[in-house]
Parts: sequence; C-alpha cells; structure tokens
Amino acid sequence: MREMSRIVRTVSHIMFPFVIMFGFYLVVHGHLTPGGGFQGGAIIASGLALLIVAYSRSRVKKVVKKEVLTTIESSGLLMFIGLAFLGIGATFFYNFLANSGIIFGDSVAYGINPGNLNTAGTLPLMSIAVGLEVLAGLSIIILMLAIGSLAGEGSR
Amino acid sequence: MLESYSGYWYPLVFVSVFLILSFIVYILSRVFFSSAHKKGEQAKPFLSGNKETEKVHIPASSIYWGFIKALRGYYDVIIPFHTGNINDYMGAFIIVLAIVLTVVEVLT
Amino acid sequence: MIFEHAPALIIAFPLLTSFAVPILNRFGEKFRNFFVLLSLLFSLFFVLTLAPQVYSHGVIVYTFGSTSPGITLPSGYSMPIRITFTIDGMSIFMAFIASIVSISGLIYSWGFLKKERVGMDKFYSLLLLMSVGMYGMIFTGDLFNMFVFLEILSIASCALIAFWVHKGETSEAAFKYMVVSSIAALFMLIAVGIFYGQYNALNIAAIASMINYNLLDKIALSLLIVGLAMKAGAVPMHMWVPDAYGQAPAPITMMLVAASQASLYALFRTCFTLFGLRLDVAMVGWIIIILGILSMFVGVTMAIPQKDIKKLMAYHSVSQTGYMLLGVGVGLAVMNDPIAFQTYGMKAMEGSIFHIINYALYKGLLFLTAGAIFYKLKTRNLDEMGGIAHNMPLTTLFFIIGALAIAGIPPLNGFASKFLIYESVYRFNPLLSIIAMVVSVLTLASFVKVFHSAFMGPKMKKNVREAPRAMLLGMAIIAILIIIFSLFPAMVVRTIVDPAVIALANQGNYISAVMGGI
Repeated sequence: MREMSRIVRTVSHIMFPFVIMFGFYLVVHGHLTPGGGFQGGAIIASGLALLIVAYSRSRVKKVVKKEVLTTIESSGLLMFIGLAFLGIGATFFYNFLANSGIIFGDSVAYGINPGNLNTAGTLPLMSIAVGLEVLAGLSIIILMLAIGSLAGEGSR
Repeated sequence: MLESYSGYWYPLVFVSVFLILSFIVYILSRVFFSSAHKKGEQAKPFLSGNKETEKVHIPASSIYWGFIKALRGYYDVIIPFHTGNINDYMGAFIIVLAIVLTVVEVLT
Repeated sequence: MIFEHAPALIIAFPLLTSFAVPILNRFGEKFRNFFVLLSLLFSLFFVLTLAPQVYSHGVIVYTFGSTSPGITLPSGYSMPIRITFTIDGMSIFMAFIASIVSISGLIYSWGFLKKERVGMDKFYSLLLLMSVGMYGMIFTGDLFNMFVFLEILSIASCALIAFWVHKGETSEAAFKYMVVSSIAALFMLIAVGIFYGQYNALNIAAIASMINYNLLDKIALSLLIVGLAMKAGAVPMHMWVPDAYGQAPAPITMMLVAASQASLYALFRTCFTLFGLRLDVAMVGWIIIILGILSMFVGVTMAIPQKDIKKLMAYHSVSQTGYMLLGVGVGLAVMNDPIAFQTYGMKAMEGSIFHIINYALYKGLLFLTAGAIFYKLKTRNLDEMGGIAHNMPLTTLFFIIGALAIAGIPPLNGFASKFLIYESVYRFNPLLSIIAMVVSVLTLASFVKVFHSAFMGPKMKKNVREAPRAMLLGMAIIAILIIIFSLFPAMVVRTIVDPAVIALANQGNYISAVMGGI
C-alpha cells in the first residue's frame, strides 16, 4: 500500500493530535468517566493505525520502533504490579494513596458534583499504567500486521 | 500403610520382600547353576530354532496389529470420529451439553 | 508479617518477573533465567509456608485491596464484594502440583530450547503467566476471577503451543486449543452471569450460601460441568488434547497437563463447594462417572494404534483423567448417604485426588522423556526410532519409572492411587472397577509398545548421545518425587490428600470462613 491522497493525509494530520489527546483524556479520567486505561490505550493505538493507513507502512516503520514499544509495554505492566506491591502494608493492591493528601489524595465529595480529578488514590495511576501497556501492546500488534503484509507485497 | 476398607498397601514391605527374594534367587543361581556354560551356543538367545542372522527391529505400527484387527468393528467407528476438524470438536461439545442439560433438567 | 501475604505473593512474584522479563532479557540470558527461576522458587517457598497455616487453621481468606472481604451497608445488608483468595486443603494440594511442574518445566526448557535464537524472552514471560494462571485458578474464591484466570491460562498456553510457529501444525493445534478454551470459558462466563443475575454475588462462598438449585441454577451447573470437562479433556470432547499436547514443546506439554488439572479442580469446586448437597448428587455423580468411564476406555484404546509418541501419551492423559473423574464421581454420587460416604465414597475421592498428583508427576516425566527423544532424534514417529536405550540410558531409566507408574505396577505411586480407586469403586459398582482394571492393563500394553519400539532393538546408526544436563535435571526432580511418593504413599495421603478430600466434602467450613469474616 502506498501513501494515500493528499486530502487523506492532510485530514489525518489534523486528526491525529485529537485522537491521541482523546485517548489520553480517557486514560487519565478513568476513575471519573466511562472509559479507562484499556479503552484510552486502544484509541491511541488506533491513532497509529490511522497514520499507517494514511502514510505508507514503511514510513511509519522508520519512526515507530518495536523495541521502544516493548519497553513501554513492560514498564506499564511493572508500574501496575509495582503499585499493587506498594499496598502490601495492608494487603496486596491496597489503595494506600486514597484520602492521603499526596498525589490523587483528595477525598471524594458527597452528592452530585462535577468530579475531582485529584481523587481515588492509586486508581488513576493504575489506569495510566494499563493505558501505557495497552497503547504499546496494540501498537506492536498493528505494526507487526503492517510489516507482515509489507513482506508479502515484496514477493508479489 | 495405605488402607482401604478391604485391604492395605505397604510398599516398603513389598520392596523389601522383593529385594530379599531376588537376593535368595541370586544366591541359589550362584550355588546351583554355577556349572552352566557361559560361552558357546548355550549362551545365545533362542529364537524359535532359527539362527540369529541379522538385527531385527519390529516397527511400532506392526505391534498389536492383531489386537486392532480383532477390534475392527470398534476401531472403524472410533478412529473416523477423531477427524481433527474443529467443527466436529464443537459438535461433540454441543451434543454433550444438550444431553447433560436434558438429563439435569428433566430427571432431577 | 510477610507470611500473611503469602497467598498474594505466590502469584505476585511470577507476575512481576513475567512483566520484567523483556527488560531483564537485555542483561543477558543467564541473568534472566536466574530471575525466572528465583520467582518460581519464591512461589514454591510461599506455598510451603502457607500449607501449615491452612492445615492448622482450616480455610484462609485473603482479600485484595482491603482488610475484610465484605461490605456492610447502613441497612445491615452485608455481602462479600471484594476479590478474595480462599485457600483450603484442596487449593494448597493443587498448588503443590502447579509449583513442582512449573519449576521442573522451567529447568527442563533451559536445555530443551537452548538452540532457539528468537522469542525466548516471550517464552519465559508466557511460562510464568501460565504458572500465574494456574495458581490463580486454584486459589481464587470468586467465580468471575476464576474465569479471568482461566483465560490468562488459556491465552498463555495457546501462545506457547504455537512456540514453533514456523511449523504449520503447531499453529493449527494452537488455533484449535484457542477455540476450545474460549468456548469453554464463554460458557463458564454465561454460568457466572446466571449466578450474578440471581444472587447479586460472585463470591463462591456467598453464592453457595444462597443457592437453591432452581431451573437457572441447573442450567448454570450443566454449562460449568460440560465446559470445564472439555477443558480437562473428557471424552467425547477430548480431541483437542492429542493436537495440543502433541505439538507443544515438551515442557509446555507438561505444564498443559497441570493446566488441565486446574480445570478439573474448578469442576470439583463447582460440584462440591458451590452446590454441595443441594445437588441431586446421584444424578450429577453418575454424569461425571460416565464421562470418566468413557474417557478411560476411549483414551486408552485410541492410544494403542498411535504412531506419534507424544500423541500416544496425550491419549493416555485422556484416559488417566477418566480415573480422577471416576473416583470423584463415585464420591459425589454417594455424598448424601453418610454411611456409604464414610465407608467408600471418601476412599474413592482420596484415591482420585491422590491420582491427580501422581498423574501430574508421572505424565510430566513421560512427556519430558518424549521431549528428550525428540530433541535428539528430531522425530516423534515411533517407526523411526529404535535402540535408544543404548544411547540414552538415563532417559530410558526415567521412561521406565514413568511407564511403570502410569501402568499401575507396584510398588510405584500409580499403583497406590489406583488401588484406592479400584477397592472403593468396587463397593459402589463392581463393573466400573473392572473397567478401570482393564484400562490399566491396556495402558501397560501400549507403554510396552513404546518401550519396545523406541528403546529396545539394535543400536542406531546415528551417533546420538544423552540429553543435556538441564533436561536430565528437570526429569530427575520429578523422578525422585515419584519414588518418594511410591515408597511413602500413606504419609502423602495423610498429610496432603486427606485435608484436600475433607476440604471438598465439607462445604460448610468454606462458606463460614468467608461469610463469617464480614
């Protein structure tokens, strides 16, 4: 597959930052709104798919490196399990940051409210960890599929 | 000692009896068969009166052909049943599920 | 105290290492292997420290993320809502199997996959995930969590079956395994949904305390039994077993054996702990007995004409699973008759649960020897083998130990557990016991075939030597355990099997341990 037309490339150029931004929004607001780490990560990875479709696979392949993505994936998972280990003062996965006043440490207001991002303790952090893992993991899958079909094209 | 309600199983006794008996047999063989020939024709394996001419090894697919032939009727049904097709695997699952559902719903 | 957290740490260490393996891989092979082994040894250590606690205190409940499993509303309604690990004698018994099998499988794969250039980091990652899936399934006290761990186990195993992905057959086997395990897991999910819809609970103990065996529960029960029986490889849903076991690398085949046992555990947990005496025990018991008898007979008769050594052993796995289903089915069928249950039902369950660990050990050993032969000869076809005993004496010794144990020849451990099954099942129904003995004879017959065609005969022309040391060590660990289990069966039954049987039979303890702690 070659590069698509100028129109498609321009539109995807404009759209790409918004896709990424929406993805990160979903990841960070995982504890307040529908969505969360997995969904946000999947949207970010779909941004990569957009790039691969609009520009050629070979161009994207040069920019996005598999080794980097593997490291991101691994560190997202390690962050998740590390947060679980940090709670071991009480029990595994204990939410030690909730209501503690440190990061994400505000207590939740009672009743209907617009939602405070700075609440819920380890939950948003875990959401971010899952988001990193999913964005890297799905990106690797998309990239591998693209490279695989590129190999098939060469032989044709 | 491992007990069931009609018997017991004590492997240490079994093993020690086995070892003692083997030892006795060994001693007896040393005492009574010491005159047996160690060399020559007598020491060779006896294969139905034929001389052992060449090294023969029966391949695996020839072993138990009689057993399989005797159970031809059974194997003719059961081997085609293992088609290696995933649709058939799921078919078997659905049939068993249907039977179990019927049995559990209707009979209890 | 760190030991309070043993249930969580058992799965946390392999999970942590599994995620870190891609990073550890950059520091070199030895470094990575050392950490992988270390995490599994940690798990084994915590299993061993957890065991005395379970045996002295009964059921242990560990809650994730909080100190108590439940929540009490201002209205007084209280319910265990959190994710818990509920560990009783049966869970800890299965955890022994999982840890032994994982460790020896890992050590064996150091030798077995030494020549592989790519993908080893993913291999060890997935191997650890498989181990986590097993531990999770057998420790969890929550039905939905059991589904999640079943999926983790299935996906990790599926990827590992397809490890040699450039060979077409492995991909096919992995695909079949994936379809079978997803279908089984989905049906389990439907059953979980049915329970959740009715009782608003996912905790096994909470559901068990409320269950009333109505129409929906019966549907859920059937889905769980059939789905999990398929995952355990019961006839006639066993056809994935020879595919998957035959194509996977040998250490993975050995772990798949333990993974099937985890599904079997889930099946027993469903029947005994989730439903207990509210079941129509005779009916469900007979369903399990019939599945067991079919598995035993069809498995062993299909094994006899096989030419592929690993497929032959895989059909024996089906057949041996039948023994476990038979014994536990008999135990379940007589559960509402206290006298019969005390006299032979308990013994039948004891026999078949003892058979689980024996089976995992000797079947693992047999698959490892088959793997050693494959490693050296590059073939699984029995017709192309012969005279291996001249070249690989230690492997031959291990094979003989495994083959005699699986055939139930005294004094090996297979005999001890089969003896308990025969004697107690004979009291229940003599015919079943006779079938079990005939199957045992046929098992011996087909292993005589393997022994004759692979190990006996004239020396091979090819210059084949003994397997690498890591592989021998992996096999030796299991062989030594088999010999210990053979010589001291009574001790093993008293210390680890009896608590497992009592834990299964005593539903009340399990419920009160969770529901009382709220």
